[in-house]
Amino acid sequence: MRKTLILFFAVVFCVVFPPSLLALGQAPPESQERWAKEDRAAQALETLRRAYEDRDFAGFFHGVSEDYRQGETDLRSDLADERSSISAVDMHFTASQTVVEGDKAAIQVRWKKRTMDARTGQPALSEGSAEFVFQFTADEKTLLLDIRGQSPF
Amino acid sequence: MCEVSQPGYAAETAKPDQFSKFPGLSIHGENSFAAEMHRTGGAGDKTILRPGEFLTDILKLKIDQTLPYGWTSHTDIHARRTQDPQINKRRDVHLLGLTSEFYNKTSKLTFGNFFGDFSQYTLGESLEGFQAAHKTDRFEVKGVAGISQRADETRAFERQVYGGRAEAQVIDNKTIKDGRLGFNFAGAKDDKGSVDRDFGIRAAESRVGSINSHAVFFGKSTLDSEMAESWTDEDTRDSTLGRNVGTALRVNNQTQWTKKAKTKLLYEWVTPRFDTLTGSAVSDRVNVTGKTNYKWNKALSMDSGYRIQYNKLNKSTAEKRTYLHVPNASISWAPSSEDWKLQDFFSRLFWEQRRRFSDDANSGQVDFVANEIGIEDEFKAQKINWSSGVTIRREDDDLQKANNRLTHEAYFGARTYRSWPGTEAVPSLRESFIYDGYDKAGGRDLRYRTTIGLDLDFKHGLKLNQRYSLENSRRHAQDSDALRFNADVGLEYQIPKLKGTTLKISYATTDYAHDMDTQSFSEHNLRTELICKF
Repeated sequence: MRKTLILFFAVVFCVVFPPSLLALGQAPPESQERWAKEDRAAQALETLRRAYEDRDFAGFFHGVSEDYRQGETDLRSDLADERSSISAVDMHFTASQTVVEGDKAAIQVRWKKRTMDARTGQPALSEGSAEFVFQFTADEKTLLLDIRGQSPF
Repeated sequence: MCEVSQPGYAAETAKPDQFSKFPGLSIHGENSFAAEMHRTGGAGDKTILRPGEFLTDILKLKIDQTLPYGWTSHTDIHARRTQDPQINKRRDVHLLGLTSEFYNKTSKLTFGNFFGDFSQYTLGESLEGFQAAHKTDRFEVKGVAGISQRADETRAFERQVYGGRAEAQVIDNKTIKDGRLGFNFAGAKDDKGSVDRDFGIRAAESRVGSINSHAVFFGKSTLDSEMAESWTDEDTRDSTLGRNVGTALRVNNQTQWTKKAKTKLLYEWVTPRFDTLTGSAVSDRVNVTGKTNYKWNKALSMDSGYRIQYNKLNKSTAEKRTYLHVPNASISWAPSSEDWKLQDFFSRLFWEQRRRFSDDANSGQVDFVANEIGIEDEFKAQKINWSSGVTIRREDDDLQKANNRLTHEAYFGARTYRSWPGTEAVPSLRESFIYDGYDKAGGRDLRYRTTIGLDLDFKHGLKLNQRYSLENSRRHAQDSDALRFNADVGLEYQIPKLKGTTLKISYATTDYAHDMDTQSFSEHNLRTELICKF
């Protein structure tokens, strides 16, 4: 009940004080560009997550840079081995912070993953935290450049 | 290496007299209120979600202020308050990020959270601290001092990071274009006083220096390289451990020989004792990769490549040297829609082999080899986009014959776009089959999945997306069959009289029915979110 009331007041607050009233001035191009890059990195991460869940490895590697710093060959080998050992994956990401610098953006993520064993179908859970580094290329692509910490892939 | 050229930091600055009431000030952001209800059933230890109701409030605020003499300040605040203990253990407001920047066309000062970016081997991670940078078309210098953050939010220990980078264009003529030379240095030291030190985690310290270069020869061949040296103390509290000194080298070359032919080459050599705490490298590794692409004509092209990797370099602690050889080739055919009745036709035939073997293997023995051959097609007919593919994969494991298998994968998909007054619809269907046959009396496993999607756009800011999938697994092993159902339905409505306000309602469920009840579960997530962009 208390949570419902809080949500109700949050909605009322948003309606009584329309967001457009809070906005002030026009953001400089650099700020707009930074925001757009944050969105692009978040979308790229979601695309990778969805492709990985769908076991669409061709689609997954469309979002990975050939210069992937932990070794693109290793990642391909790991996923090929994984494809033989697990049949399905569910993965949840909770992003905490995104920072942008030039042609790169980093997103810090806590992840939870559930895998189904290929031979027995039994599910297993794992979790961890990682920083995903994306690179914005000249041809408007957003590619995974690095994973620091505990990789979910 | 493909990098976006950014000569300076401020392309265009807002004019000071742009706003009469608050000159040069802009405040924008996003506030989202979300309520989630999680329900689970069956084996509780198999569910990702935790049952309960949770409210989450996320605020992103961006404040820009034009300053005198062409300077601009930018402040970025990102905070979250949630009742979900899987995200935050406490219910207080959690400041996820706070960054303040002051910049003009060539210089930038950053305080707070930022991404430290020097070079691959020296620094490439998020930091909390201070950065000063100056950049022109021909010169860049950067210095950082800060604390490295653990990727999780409950940061348990701190690592002090410092370093600098300088890069200059040293040559630029018709033969060698944009020839650059850079020097990078980064040091990192674990804080011995941090909590986790008591639990046996080592207090490492490392310093890495590198020289990087970039050049374009005759406008056709791009060469990037970096050579680095690292000095690392694995645990500064243990005087019996010596200092590790290692070297790393990487060379990238990309050449467009003619309009039809191009190659890409990579050589990387990282010694076993090379260790970088703030950069990225896989130690004890040699990697050689070559790729070619040749376009026969407008429709036909061919790709081929070969990767070789091995370890156990000088002073390695590995017991044996393991090699990985990965040759691959593919032919793509994309005839013009004018010459072929199937529109936007694309077909690709590919082959890849992964061969792993060690220097202690018996004569003629290959530890593991996998061959994969397949074809994939896409085309458009009757206003429907069709796609299909077949892959056959053979795995041969000389060490464990029980792992030998022959896998067939096939998929078929269709997607179309339909439009009526006031409504646009994108229905889709995808069927996939995986058949695993095992050599050593392992039997055969079959899995097939059907996915149906329907995206509806009712215009006026109202959208409805739906996706349902059903996967059936029939396995040889006893009591291992399973049925898995996923549904994902999302409604999005941009409230017309509240500019920038969007209401999102979504429902996602996973239901897993396994032969063994202890492995079956279900979970449901109902989420309502109000997003206010301003």
